Amino acid sequence: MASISIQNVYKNYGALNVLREFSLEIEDGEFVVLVGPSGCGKSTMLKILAGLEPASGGRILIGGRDVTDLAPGDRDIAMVFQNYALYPHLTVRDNIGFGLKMRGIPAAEIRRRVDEAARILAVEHLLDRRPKQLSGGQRQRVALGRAIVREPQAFLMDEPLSNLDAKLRVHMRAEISALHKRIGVTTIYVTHDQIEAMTMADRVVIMKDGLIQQIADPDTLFQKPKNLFVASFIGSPGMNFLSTAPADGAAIKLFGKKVPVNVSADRLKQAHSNGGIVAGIRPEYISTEGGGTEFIVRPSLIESLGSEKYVYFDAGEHTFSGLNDEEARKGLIARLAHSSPLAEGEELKLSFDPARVHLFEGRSGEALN
Amino acid sequence: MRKRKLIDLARPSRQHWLGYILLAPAVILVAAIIAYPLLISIDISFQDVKLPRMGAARKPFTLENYQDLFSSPEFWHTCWVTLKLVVVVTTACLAVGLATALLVNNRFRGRRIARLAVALPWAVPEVIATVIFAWIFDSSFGLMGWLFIKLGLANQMVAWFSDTTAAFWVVATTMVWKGYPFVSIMCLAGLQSIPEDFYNAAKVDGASALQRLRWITIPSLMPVLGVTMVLVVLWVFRDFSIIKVLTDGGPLKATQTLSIMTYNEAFGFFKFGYASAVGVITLLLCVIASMAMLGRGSKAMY
Repeated sequence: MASISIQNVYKNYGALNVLREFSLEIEDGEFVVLVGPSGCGKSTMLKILAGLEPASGGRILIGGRDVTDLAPGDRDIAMVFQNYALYPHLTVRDNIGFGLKMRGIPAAEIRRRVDEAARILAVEHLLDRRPKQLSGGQRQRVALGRAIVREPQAFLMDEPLSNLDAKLRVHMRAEISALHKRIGVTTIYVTHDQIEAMTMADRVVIMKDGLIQQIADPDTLFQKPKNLFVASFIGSPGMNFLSTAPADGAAIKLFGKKVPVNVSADRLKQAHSNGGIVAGIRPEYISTEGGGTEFIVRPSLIESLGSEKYVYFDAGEHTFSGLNDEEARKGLIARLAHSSPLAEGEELKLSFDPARVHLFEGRSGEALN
Repeated sequence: MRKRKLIDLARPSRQHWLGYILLAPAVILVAAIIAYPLLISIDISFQDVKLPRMGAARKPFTLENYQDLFSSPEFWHTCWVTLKLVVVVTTACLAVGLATALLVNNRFRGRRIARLAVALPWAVPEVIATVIFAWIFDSSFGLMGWLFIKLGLANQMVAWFSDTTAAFWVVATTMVWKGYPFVSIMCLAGLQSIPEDFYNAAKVDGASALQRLRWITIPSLMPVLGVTMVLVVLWVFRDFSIIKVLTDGGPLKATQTLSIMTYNEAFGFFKFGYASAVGVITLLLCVIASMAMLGRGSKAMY
């Protein structure tokens, strides 16, 4: 187990900048998730960390040791791959023990450690099978076994759950978290799934276009997103964005009402001239209970999930199309824990707490509050 | 109403008709030029036929050809030569083919040209390649003799085709040169289907380049190598033109394989019955060898 220090690592492919200056201090035993849309540089960062790809510049220290130009095998890390990379010609036992065998560890010791790892992951009964005879979840466990058997300084995981079906993914997610709590090895986990990031991480690093957007624990990320991208990426369904204008004083105009916000009037005016003000309200903070700012809508679509309902409605004059067209077309969503029947096209009174409103500057996307 | 077609092959119940119709020409052709002669030669091998003629009366059934064959030292010697050649040429072809495939599988400038160069011997017609090798190993003007003198391995020009051992190795060398590109192409295709992550995982696990070859590349290539080996073995068994042009089985029958023997007995000594027996035995050996190797080699692992 060790701390990891990534200092100003960047990567270019010719003129293409896939990873800008990336710096991150990871504490011993921490579970850090790198998350972002595809092509954001998260996998590249992991490969550089593993030593499978050279960095164009910067330094990496694992447990205080400079490993920037060390071979992958000399870094004392273990990696779990998206497609598990289990060798089809070897049994599960040989797959798990592969790394130990390559390091010339005596057979008896390998046997003991493989048995131990298999016990932890509950795959003891599968040891003599071959990977093709295993189910997806079992393969996933074997791949984890191959990592833990080495007792490395750190685990690197590259989208390890993306090949599993939805139900198994939830299960394995919890299992990996439990495993991390149990053996406490520093883990760096790459995913494009914000739910995985939110549920598993001690700290989340959100990336976009090779740039770190925000580094924070899941709660902070949800409550205080640093910019529009983070706000839109975290949460499901995503945050509603409304294009708005400042009202008199420290307030904005929304649905024809004056909504007080904790941003100074000057700052709001400045932002308004800088590409406009964007207000963000999470679907779960819109309710039918009244209080705060109330407004009337005509739902265009209502989806029932049993325990809750997603109510879609049109943003009207507040339509914001800054992120992408799809975002603008889907309109706004309210997530209501309402059990009585609602009808599409019928007037519905909704409300939100002004304190829950996020404000962003239109051009830069930076958060104002 | 639309007129019904006379033969509507699109009807579900007739789906398989089209398959048979398309297959028929090939099947008829194969039957005419392979199956029929094969049956004839099996038939002849059980008769005392010197020179077969169309319409000649059948000779009585006899096992004499086979009895002669199994008691002939020449036959056993030929079997031994064939076995030696199969083992040497197959091993060398696989080694050289795999090595060159690994080489041109790397990323480097000029990789296309290197791949072409590796595959080139395959494109040269067998007889032409053999004539070139005959010149390389010529006992008066040959390049190889000159090279041996320059390197200090020999004092004078080597008479390659007069010495039984040398002649065998010249034949083997020629066959390897002609045969390895096939292995190389097959291996290259196999190498490209090995997932990159296998190597990444092994690197993270600390496997050296040699360990990656031993534990990942070769096991992953086994299905390809197995099939390729069978094809190379069969090729060495049946190949005729290289030996015919280079040594004609000599000296002292040191390079006479079963296919050369079949030819010599039939068209040299006009003992067609006897030659057919050799041919039938060769066929049996080929079937047994390929079945044994396919049974082991092609065991699916994915």
